[in-house]
Amino acid sequence: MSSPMVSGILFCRRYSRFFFVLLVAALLAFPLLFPEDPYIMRVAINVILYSMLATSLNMINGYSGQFSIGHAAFYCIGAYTAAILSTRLGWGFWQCLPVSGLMAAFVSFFLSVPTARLKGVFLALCTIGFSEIVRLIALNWVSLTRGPMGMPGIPSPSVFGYEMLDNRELYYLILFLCSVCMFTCSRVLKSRLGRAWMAIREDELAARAMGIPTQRYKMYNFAFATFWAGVAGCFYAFMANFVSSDSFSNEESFAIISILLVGGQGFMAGGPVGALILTILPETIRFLAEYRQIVFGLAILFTMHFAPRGLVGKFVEWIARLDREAKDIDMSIGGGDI
Amino acid sequence: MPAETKIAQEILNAEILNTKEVSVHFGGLRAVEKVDMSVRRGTIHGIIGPNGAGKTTLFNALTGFQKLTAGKIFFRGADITGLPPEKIAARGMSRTFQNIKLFSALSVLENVRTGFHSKLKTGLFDALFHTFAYKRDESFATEKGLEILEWVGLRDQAETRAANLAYGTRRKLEIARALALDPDILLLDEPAAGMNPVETKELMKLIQVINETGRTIVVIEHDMKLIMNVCDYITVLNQGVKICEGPPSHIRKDPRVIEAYLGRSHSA
Repeated sequence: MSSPMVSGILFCRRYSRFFFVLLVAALLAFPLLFPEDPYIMRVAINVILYSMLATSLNMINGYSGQFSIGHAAFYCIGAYTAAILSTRLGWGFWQCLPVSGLMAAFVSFFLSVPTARLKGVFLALCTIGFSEIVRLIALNWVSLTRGPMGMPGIPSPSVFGYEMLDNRELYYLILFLCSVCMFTCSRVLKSRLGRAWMAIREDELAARAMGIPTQRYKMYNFAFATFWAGVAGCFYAFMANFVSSDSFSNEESFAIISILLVGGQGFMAGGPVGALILTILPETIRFLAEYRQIVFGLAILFTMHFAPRGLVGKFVEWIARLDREAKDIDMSIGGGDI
Repeated sequence: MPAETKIAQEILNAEILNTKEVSVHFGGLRAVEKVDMSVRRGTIHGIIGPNGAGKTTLFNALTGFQKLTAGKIFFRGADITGLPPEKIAARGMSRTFQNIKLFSALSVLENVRTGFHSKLKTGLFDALFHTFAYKRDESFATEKGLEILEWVGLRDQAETRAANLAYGTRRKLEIARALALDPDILLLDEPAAGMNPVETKELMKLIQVINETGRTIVVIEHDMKLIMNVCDYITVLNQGVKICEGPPSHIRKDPRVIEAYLGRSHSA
């Protein structure tokens, strides 16, 4: 049953670079297939935006073994930083972008420093409380954020003086940002920093015995991950041209974490896969669009039951099993010759 | 004896690790009580004692995982009392754990590469742009890591996930990982626990080979054969208190040790 499958897997592995190029080409060509459909482009933009947010959360939950469920806080900070800088000081998109990220990373220290010793559920509770505090500050600091009225009048992003109003252009912009984010994350994970984070995830005491100052590295981890949430927030502000605190409620945090859980924590592809499914699912079944939260809840329940390591995790396990089978077939052939 | 040789001899015999009246109390329980211990450079030092004697607590105290109630610890002449484990590790004291603590989802090689943390300097910038420093660090970690694996006999399994290793092999990997820190002193907490006699024999050899490279080794062990054959010097703990120390031949005959392990004789 498995030998055509095994050869299929081997084929895919051998040509993985080719498939990667194909994927990139598909992503680049996608808007050309739907030139006159702003709705599909909006969905596609959302998929990529959430891929980025989930990837950013993946750095915390998936790679350093900390447990944050208040990621919307940093998304919110990025968005508000961009909104304030662009409407009050007239800053452009590209100036706001790094500042939003850095602001989110800076604020993350207010969370990560006092909670450096907390783990698991205790940390999770703090992150959820923190995200609520951030939202309430955005809602009540009227002189800075205009409070419940929100902040309208954010310009659209522009490149070399050319304003990006079209969804297709925004699609390419977020595709670019998300690619940079994922590229950066994967590079950092392959360095001493990433190894330190994964060591903390696997066993914090052992990590300390290996000379890793775990508390400091957990703070770096939060700062690095939330930087990207801040950047995503900046994109959101410039895309929507309007920012309001109710876009960053706990519901948003739960959406990000559901995406990550369904996709698979600790896998680079986890964020995008989860985002693809959980953004498109409520959209395709239109009558479910109102019940986004229920869809997310059910999706978590199903993945936790059938694929505890997420869909990507399931896929990786499946490949590993096929690999083993392939090895067994090799061995049995070898044995036959003798 | 010429003066230089005498000094050299003194340096060789110098105490690398010293504890001064180290106590660790958990509420009313005196897990470790005023233990004075000195480990000489280049020796294999055994710590034995019945269950609950405070051996592992002493280890945790030495490596910074356990706060002292009282006392001081000196490592290479410097006071390291109260330093966090990562600082002590970076100074050249590395350890293994009684209940093996590997990075199970990572490969064997990645486990060892993680041990080079304090030896490498790659920062965020280096990692992002693959600078010269990054490339040097990564190739250093890979080469040295494979070298260590070769040495302990795990080279073939470099790509295996640590979780998929056999029990005895996991212990070996933990030692390999500890060696990545290039420690002056290596603390092994029950390295032979759960090993079969063949594996134990291999382990004894490994400990001696590591010792021959000039590393001091402190080992907690229940396997008396291993302790008596391998150690140069032994400290015996019982109920948190050091009851005896000396070379194996001395320990073997000491009535207090026999009493601690077997109980008091009625006829005495």
